[in-house]
Amino acid sequence: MTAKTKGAGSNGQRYAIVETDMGPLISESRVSVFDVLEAHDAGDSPYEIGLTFNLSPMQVETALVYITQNRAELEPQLAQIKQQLAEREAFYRRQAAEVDGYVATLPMTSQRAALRVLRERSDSEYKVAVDADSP
Amino acid sequence: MQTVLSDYNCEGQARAIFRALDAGGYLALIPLELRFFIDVGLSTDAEDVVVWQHCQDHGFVLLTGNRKTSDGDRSLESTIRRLSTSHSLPVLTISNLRRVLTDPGYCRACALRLAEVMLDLEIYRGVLRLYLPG
Repeated sequence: MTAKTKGAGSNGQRYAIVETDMGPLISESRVSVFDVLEAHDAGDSPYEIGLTFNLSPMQVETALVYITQNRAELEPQLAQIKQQLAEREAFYRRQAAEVDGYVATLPMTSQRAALRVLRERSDSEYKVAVDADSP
Repeated sequence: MQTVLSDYNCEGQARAIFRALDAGGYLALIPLELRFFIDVGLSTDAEDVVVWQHCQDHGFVLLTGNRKTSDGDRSLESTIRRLSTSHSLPVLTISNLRRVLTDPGYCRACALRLAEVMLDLEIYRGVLRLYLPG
């Protein structure tokens, strides 16, 4: 990982933002500042952000301070990354669909039959729960 | 028993998905164990190339989030495109980490997809990434 560390935050520099060729990451984690930026802009509280990404409150604070200081640069980069990720996901989902199609042609073993039963039961229970929640 | 290795930054989601697997009866059908970075000696900020190679070397299936990162040379995407073979284990990528924790139906759908892949894991070798839910 490219080692260029930027201090950010008022938490005594316990954590830092590490500039890498993948973008800015929060030290002692594998989380990108862009993950925090997106969650923050979606309205998530610092507590929720920490919960979602397994970050300590000080790590979240460090990222939020960095975002405040660098928002103008980060926003267009995040838009570009989201576009790339959407295209990537669509590509891999098409690839997976081909393999899923092949799997569907395989002989029905007892395990596959049991999984189908569990899936149908799960779908049924979910439908009951949704119906029960409906007004 | 097949091991699923949770990325450090989605441990809560991995636990939730495994609870859904257990509650749905899938674990009785498909023996799976969930392990974490600390269990296997990986650091919390381990590089993608190290994590991916560790999984391949030990036969673990990596469960990770859809991280918002650029595709640098040492990114997970670059790593799997560079090093994967037709025998490589896939990386399971949770599309939306937040929804796993806030939407039980979404969490169950992730669990179901994980179970489907694990049941026929040998067939999914060589598929670089599989997204949860399906």
